[in-house]
Amino acid sequence: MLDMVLEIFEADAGSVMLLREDVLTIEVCQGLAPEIVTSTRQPLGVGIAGWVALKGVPLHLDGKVNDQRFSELVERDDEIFSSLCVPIRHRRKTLGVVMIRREAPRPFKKNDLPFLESVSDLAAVALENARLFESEHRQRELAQLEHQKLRATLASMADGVVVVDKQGQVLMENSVAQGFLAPQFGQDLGQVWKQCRAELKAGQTRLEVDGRQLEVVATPLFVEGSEAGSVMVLRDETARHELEKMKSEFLSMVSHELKTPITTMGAFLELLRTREFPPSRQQRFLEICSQECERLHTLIDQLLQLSRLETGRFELKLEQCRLGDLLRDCLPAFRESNFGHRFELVEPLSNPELQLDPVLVTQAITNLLSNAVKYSPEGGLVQLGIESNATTSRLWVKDQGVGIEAEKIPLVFEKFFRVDNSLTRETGGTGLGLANVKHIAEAHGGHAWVESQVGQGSIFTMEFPIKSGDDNHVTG
Amino acid sequence: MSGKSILLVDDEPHVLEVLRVTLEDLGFSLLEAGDGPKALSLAKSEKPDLVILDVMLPSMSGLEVCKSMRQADGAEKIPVILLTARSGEDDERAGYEAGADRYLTKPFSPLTLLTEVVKLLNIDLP
Repeated sequence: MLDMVLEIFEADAGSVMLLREDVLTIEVCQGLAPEIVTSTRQPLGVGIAGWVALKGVPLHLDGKVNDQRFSELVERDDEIFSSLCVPIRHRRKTLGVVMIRREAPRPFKKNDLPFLESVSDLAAVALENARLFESEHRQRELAQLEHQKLRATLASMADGVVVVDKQGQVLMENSVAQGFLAPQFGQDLGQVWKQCRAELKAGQTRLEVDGRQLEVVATPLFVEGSEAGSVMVLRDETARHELEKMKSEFLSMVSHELKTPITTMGAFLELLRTREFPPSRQQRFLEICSQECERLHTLIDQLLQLSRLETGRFELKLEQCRLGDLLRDCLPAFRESNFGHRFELVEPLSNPELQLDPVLVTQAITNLLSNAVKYSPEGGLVQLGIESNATTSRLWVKDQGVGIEAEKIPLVFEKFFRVDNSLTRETGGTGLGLANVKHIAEAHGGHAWVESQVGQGSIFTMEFPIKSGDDNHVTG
Repeated sequence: MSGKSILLVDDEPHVLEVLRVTLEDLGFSLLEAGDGPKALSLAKSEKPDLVILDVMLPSMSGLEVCKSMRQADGAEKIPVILLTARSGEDDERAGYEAGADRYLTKPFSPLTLLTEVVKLLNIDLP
């Protein structure tokens, strides 16, 4: 455009300067020395261009600048003969200036100024359009960026999101929501809104879709201050649900187990109070009450132990101890109270020094021995042994009892599981002993298992890893 | 006296003993079972006049036994007292829906049990 202007006005040099942050810089020019081009930065009000830009008034100057107004504002180039300087204005805003000049003694005519002004006006429109275009482009880029961020966020969330308008039409959804809801609602996730409208108005609801327990929380969607629909967030609560169910079942079982001895005690005590019985029977009933009391005590202890082991809220107090010694120390008590059974330590008995919690391991061994006694017949043989290699040490307890059916073997270490109720009940078993054994083995980094055949007895084994002298306390 | 027979079902030997002692010397003939399948088969074969049934049995729950009894020829009219540690409303409803005539919770009073037995069997006690 400048070329055209210079040609039309037969000018020797010219420039278009744009005003940015109150400073004019040369945008395009012709016929100017390069140093001038780069160095020219006219603040608003300084120099001819600065003055024109500030006042918004065109200027026609001939020859040297003698005018009072410019006494301080002098351009460097004294060889300028005649120059025109016109502001580029668009809607009362000055965008810059156009300056053209002639060096030869050919002054601009009077009409040239208004003509340049018209040209400048056209330039102004062009400039403004360019600016608008750039601004719009930038805004669109920003909007796209925001959109991308939103999409990435929605796609990366763990929860599902569905936004609907007041009619239930889907405005936005993420892939997680699709994954959750598609099996039941297909492509139109707005169906969820339509179906659960009443509950969602209250804030939240539970849905079961495709085996998942979903919690749906709905909040109103506000667009520019007015309610335009609803935002639903869906969370997969299945795991927590399962856990709650398990807890509830466990509590139920515990409650039952605790009530049973109490039932027996309470009933016999009432019978003893309200009826006459011969002394031998009275003794029998009182004996049963004592046993049940003892059983209740054991149950509570084992439950506490189990709870501690399961929630991991205990500290394994590891010490260097010998597994064989722990085993040997358990035997005297058992031999004394179980005359009907024989306990045999199978030699050679490995006696490795391990990092063990002696209290817990002793308890585990006691549980295994109790089990063996309960499930082997009178006069039965209970064998015990320890075998070790470089990496592990195994303690096993073998009985000649009734054995365990194949399909029950995996259940044996479950809480409250009893293979044969009558046997266990008579001897005060709680069904928790083996669960504790397993926990204790695993807390030491080992495990426990059983091999058994019906009629052939069972071998219960606890395996401990042999660590390389680790002295740390382990919090389970 | 009455010549009635009662089937006692509980997997706890001591609870069975309580039931036995509660009902002894009153002229009842007592049958016992420690699990669901045995209870069901005795109910069908012996057709007792009353069944006292624990709900938490090992393989087959007392509720299932009760339901099966209601569908078995000859056993469907036998009155059933359910005895259980479960005391929730839902549990009680489930008990009655399974066909029980009475739902008693543990721990129970032997005297209360006796009263219920007498009512259901429609007899007088000496």
